[in-house]
Amino acid sequence: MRLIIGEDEVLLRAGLSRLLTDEGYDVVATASNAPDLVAATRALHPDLVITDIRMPPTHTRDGIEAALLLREETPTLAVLVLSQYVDSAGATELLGRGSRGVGYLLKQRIMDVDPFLRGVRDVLDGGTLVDPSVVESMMRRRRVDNPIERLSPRRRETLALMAQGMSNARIAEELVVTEHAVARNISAIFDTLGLPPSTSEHRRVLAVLKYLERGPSEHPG
Amino acid sequence: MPAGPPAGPTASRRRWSADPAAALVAGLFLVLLVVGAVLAADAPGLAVADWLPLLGMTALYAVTGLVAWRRRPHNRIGVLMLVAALSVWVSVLGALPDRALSMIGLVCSTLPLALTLHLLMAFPSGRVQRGVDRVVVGAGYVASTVLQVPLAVVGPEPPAVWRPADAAQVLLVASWVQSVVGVSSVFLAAGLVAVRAFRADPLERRLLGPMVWYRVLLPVMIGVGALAIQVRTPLAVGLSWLQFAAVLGLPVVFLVGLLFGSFGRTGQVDELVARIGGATPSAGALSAAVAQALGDPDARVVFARTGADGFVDEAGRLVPAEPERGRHVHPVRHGGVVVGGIVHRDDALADGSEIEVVGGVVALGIEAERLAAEQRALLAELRTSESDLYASRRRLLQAEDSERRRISRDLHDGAQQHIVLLGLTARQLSRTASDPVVAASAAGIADGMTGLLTELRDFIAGIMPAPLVERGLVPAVEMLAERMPVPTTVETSGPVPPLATDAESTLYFTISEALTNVAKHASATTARVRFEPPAGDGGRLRASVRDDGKGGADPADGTGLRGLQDRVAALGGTLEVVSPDGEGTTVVVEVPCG
Repeated sequence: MRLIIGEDEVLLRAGLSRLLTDEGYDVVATASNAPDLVAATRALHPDLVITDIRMPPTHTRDGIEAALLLREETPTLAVLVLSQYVDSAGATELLGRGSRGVGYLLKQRIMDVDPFLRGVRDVLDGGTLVDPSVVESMMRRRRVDNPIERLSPRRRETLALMAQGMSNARIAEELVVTEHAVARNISAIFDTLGLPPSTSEHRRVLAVLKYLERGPSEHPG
Repeated sequence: MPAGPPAGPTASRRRWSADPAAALVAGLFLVLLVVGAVLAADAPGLAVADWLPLLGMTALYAVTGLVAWRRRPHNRIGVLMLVAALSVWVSVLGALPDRALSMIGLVCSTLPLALTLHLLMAFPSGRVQRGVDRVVVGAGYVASTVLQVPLAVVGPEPPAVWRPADAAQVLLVASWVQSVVGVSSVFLAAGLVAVRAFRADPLERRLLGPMVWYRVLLPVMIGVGALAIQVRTPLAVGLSWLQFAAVLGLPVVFLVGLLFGSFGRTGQVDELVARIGGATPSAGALSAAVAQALGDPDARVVFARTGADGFVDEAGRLVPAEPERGRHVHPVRHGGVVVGGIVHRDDALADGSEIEVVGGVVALGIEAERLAAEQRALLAELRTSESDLYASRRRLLQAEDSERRRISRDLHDGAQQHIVLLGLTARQLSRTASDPVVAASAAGIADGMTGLLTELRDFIAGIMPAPLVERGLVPAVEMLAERMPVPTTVETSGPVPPLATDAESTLYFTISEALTNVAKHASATTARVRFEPPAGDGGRLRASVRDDGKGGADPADGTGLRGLQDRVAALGGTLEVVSPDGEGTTVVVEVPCG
């Protein structure tokens, strides 16, 4: 698997690059700013772009804007953006344009090497990965006037884990229940949210989007 | 020695045109004199000798009164003379056949005597100040008006209004009462003036001048004349003409005394003091007052230069020692220092002491003007330093703000990234180390790094939160709202215009503090943040944080908003906390845009 890393801090860029190389990935390029990242991606067609949100030249949201642009040009490109802080609006923006192969993680998750590498793998496999803190924040934001409010706490927890891209088996492991119970809960969530029966994978994505995509209309400005 | 009148024909003409009030009064009397003459000449059986002397007296009082009034506007003698002129004119009406006019004239026929008495007592200040003097003057007026009424109504002269059977009796009693009151008041007046003249010290006597004897003699003559008429002596006619002549002389004597007597000089100074003290002195007012006092229309005040010899005028132009031919600058001193000068005509001053006196008063005026100018300068300086203070407060806020941003950015880009890297390295070591002790230690370090990073991020957020810098005010506040333990909505009434960075962060910290208070103290179930940008350009951005909690918050009670109040004030904004008991709390902050 070929990937490109966008990170302006040189030591961290090297550390991340080594971590992923050691893991067997092919880091075909690294970039220290957003324009370089876009240029390298266009030239090298990687499978995954991992980028810090805050990057030169403006040191604000250059990374996520580059990721959005690249996703628009190549919808099959997997992207994993790393944020310094919980920005659910930013996450919503990224995931709202299609959630296959998209990840949004707090930067500090890099330090938890194993979960991080698992997340990279999930995103490459077309999964959706959202940082637990971001999910929590979104849940708070949507407590007011939201069908998700009608879900029981256990089902909401299940949905949150789904949003983090976890499989039924992993959710069962996380919640210490049987996989069968998880499947039953997920089915109830689909019903509560009024999602039509279709392939389970597609409904999962819709359920996740249900509370990720409500942002812009609710928050002018 | 009196100063000669300096004003030539040119000055006179200028004075008339420059003095519409005097022109109006002069015109009025001219009309009255003409009307009086026409009415009297037409009246049948009226000899010229009956009315011409009275109209002549009217004219004399009017002219002298007018001059006295305009030359000494702050002295009432001039005005009293004008009133006396009017009363003499009215008394002429008594001789006319028209019943109504003659009635007025008869009632007023002895009024000139009362006014003469008033003038005598009021000289030289124009005011009757002592109680006894007032009684005397008042008695004069009562005798000449109230007690005159029976004589006019029942009177021996046609046309009598009412003639009772015992008319002669009534008339006799009335005329005796009037005589007694009138005569005793004039004798009392003569006595008062005489006693005061005897008791006066030399200076007072000099001020009162020789006319004090005239002021004693005149009332005596008036009194004697009245008595002579009452007892019908053969001398009565002669005495009444003597009385008339004495009264005729009064205005002239007073005018001369007022303008040129020993009193005249202090009168000029009084006038000057009154004019300079009357208003905030300005160079123009000073010059006008001095011109009046010296009787030199072109006299003016100049100012000493500070730190150099010579004088400047009010526009700051240098004034030479002899500005024009025949004019010099007379220096004016205050406290031994030359503070200014008076430009005057050399020949206008017969007496050097006069300009010294005037100069002394002018010095006070210049000093007052200088103090006023200093006060104005001080006030202007104060205003400048006040706005300087505002500007410097804002600069301090801006400096603090940019420093916070710099520190936050450095920690963000430096320390935070290094911690992530070290944590990553430690975690990798814990995964790959063959020695389980090393692996465990490395895992511990990695965990510690995670905690450290969280602490650092909270610390940075306190200095200058990254969302604010990177995303702007409203998104950053939305992120705050997401972290609130009570459901919190954020709304805007329109697009929020870009703000100065210090204004943006001050608003953010204020809202953050208000939300913290909601979470900690309000027992609220919901909260709402609302941004209300101004409708047009400029204006003020209003942001409010409202909760539905218990209210009753005391803004002065260490809520942390107090510290922010100073920052808001430095922006020229306002911060308000409304928290009625049981009705929630609203914090409103307003800052100017742009």
